[in-house]
Amino acid sequence: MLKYIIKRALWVIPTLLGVLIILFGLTYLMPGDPASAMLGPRATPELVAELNERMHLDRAMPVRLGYYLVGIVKGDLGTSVWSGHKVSSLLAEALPHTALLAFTSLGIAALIGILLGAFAAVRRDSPIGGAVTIASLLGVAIPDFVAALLLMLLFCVQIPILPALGAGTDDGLIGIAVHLILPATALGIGWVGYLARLTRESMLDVLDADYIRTARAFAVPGRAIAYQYALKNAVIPSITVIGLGVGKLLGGAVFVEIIFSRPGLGKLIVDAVYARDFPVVQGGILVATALFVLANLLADISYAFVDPRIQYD
Amino acid sequence: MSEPLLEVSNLTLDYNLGGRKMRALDRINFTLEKGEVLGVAGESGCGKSTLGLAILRLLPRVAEIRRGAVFFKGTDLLKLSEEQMELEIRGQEITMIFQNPQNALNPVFKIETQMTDILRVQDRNQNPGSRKRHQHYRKQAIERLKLTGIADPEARVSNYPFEFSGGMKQRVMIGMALSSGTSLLLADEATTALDVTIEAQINKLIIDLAAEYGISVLYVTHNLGVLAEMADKIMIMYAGRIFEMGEKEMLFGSPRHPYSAALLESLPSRQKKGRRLLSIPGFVPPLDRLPKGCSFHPRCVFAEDICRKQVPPLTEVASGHWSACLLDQKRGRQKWQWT
Ligand SMILES: Nc1ncnc2c1ncn2[C@@H]1O[C@H](COP(=O)(O)OP(=O)(O)OP(=O)(O)O)[C@@H](O)[C@H]1O
Ligand code: SF4
Ligand SMILES: [Mg+2]
Repeated sequence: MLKYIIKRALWVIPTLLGVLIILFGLTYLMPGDPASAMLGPRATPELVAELNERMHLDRAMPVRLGYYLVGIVKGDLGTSVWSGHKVSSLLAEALPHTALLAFTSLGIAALIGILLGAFAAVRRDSPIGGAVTIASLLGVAIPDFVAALLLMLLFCVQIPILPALGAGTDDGLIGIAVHLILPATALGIGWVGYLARLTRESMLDVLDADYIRTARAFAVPGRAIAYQYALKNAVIPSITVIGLGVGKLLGGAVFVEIIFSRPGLGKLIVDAVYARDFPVVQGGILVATALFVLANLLADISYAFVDPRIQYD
Repeated sequence: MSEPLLEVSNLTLDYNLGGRKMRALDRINFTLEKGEVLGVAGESGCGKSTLGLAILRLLPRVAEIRRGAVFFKGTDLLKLSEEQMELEIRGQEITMIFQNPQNALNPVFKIETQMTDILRVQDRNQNPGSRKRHQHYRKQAIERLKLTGIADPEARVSNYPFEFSGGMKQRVMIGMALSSGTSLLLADEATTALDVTIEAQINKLIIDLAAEYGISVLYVTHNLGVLAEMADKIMIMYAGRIFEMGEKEMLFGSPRHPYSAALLESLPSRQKKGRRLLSIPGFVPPLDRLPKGCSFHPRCVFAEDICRKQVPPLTEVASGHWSACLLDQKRGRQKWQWT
């Protein structure tokens, strides 16, 4: 198992390196002189010169790439053109908000979705199965930002019981939790339906498998058969989907953050794009990619824990 | 005589596949005494596995029992609730070894987990309130593995099924099924996945343990040769029906049904020198398109007009010897010489 994890983890390095080089190359796609482009109307010759100096924009490409890579290894992602803050500290501030939103939302959605799907499969003749299917189709059909707007209208405007804006960081843990309810629901609701349907389908297959019949033949209690013997097999496709879906999740988090005006990676990147604050955009995307790659790594590792056959392929 | 351990009476069962009804068991009648080994043979698809699954009520959802009863120690298992089947019968009074060992074990749990779970259930059903530690059942699992001849069971018990060969998986199944508290073992092609020497070993193990614990065995196989050594009684099935049934000596010595005679003639050990190996021409018919009359008639070299019109009933043609051939019933004992 350890060998598998290390082998799998080593793959992260070339992936991130590739992204780095692409991000670096993007500066060359900017029309004209990058420094004036970034500074926009504020571009005075002095500022342009200072920026060129600071970002080594006047050096040859390989030298710049070298500076860039060395900086990243040292944890230095440059400074914001707009605010002068270090990009790394801007990211350190934004990241926990996004991670909290994305992973509470996904965690709770996965738990509810998988259990709901399993339950619907076990009670295959009851109306729950149909209800799960319909709910999941609805959940998948509604984009995150529409769900976010609808929830906001419903619970902040029509029946104003939940806060609409911000992250609630000034109100302690309870404030954070309360501010998380709507955005996390908006982000996770599609996942609940999707995972429920996926789990239901694979669970129905698994429940007909020979090894389930074996367990029944030896009188293993029905609940243990369903929620241990069968579910551990039935959950495998969901893990794959979650791993592949983390990109979509982060993308959704960006929209939801903007709608609920939550601080976070999404808001940081989008604001930086509008401000043409290139170092921030670069650093933000790099970190988002790293998150994505790490999430996939985690999914693969948990996959190997659930399905022992994987490690040996 | 006291009541038999198992009495299957008129058991009739269909598989419903999108409007098509396939009669996989048609009026099955037989009894099995305590300690007896009944060998069930017949070509692929004749309903052998279905019979075993029907007794334990583990049939797939598309199967529907139309009539009949399965009396076990006097109670009709078909009338018991699922809970009663679970608490009193399955894994307890009646155990089963399944035909396809590749898929019979759960791929994502260790052998240890699967065996100890079952041993714990068996123990708790026998001694309600028993609270033994995992270690106790683990030792028991290792014992069972050792019994079925798995080398290094202490280490092997913590393997996953995919680390076992088909034969080893089958031994795990056998180890789980052969418990001293069992009255009836349903062995469905228990040794088909094994190579010949091991097959003989395992069969001996099954027979010895069955004799030691007084377990009755329904031994399903497509290999009549094996039954010559193991079985007390033989049942020959074809397309969901019993064609012939009787004591092994009678059935092997003087088969009363052309189908049994053909199966016996096709055994390599019985081939007479200089004759070609018999294989019965044609195929087992699909169950929803059975030929009229005797379902075997398109393949039977002895068939006459009457065979295409009348369904032969299973009739006692000699004491304790049953057969379902019209010509045999009309004219008495024949020598069914195929080649
Ligand atoms: N789940 C199922 N759905 C539909 N038909 C089935 C199902 N299982 C078995 N059958 C049909 O029932 C008949 C009897 O099948 P069964 O498995 O009992 O035969 P068998 O004698 O055990 O054959 P084999 O020697 O190949 O194991 C076959 O014609 C088969 O096609
Ligand atoms: S009844 Fe006729 S067709 Fe059937 S086995 Fe006897 S001889 Fe053959
Ligand atoms: Mg079979």
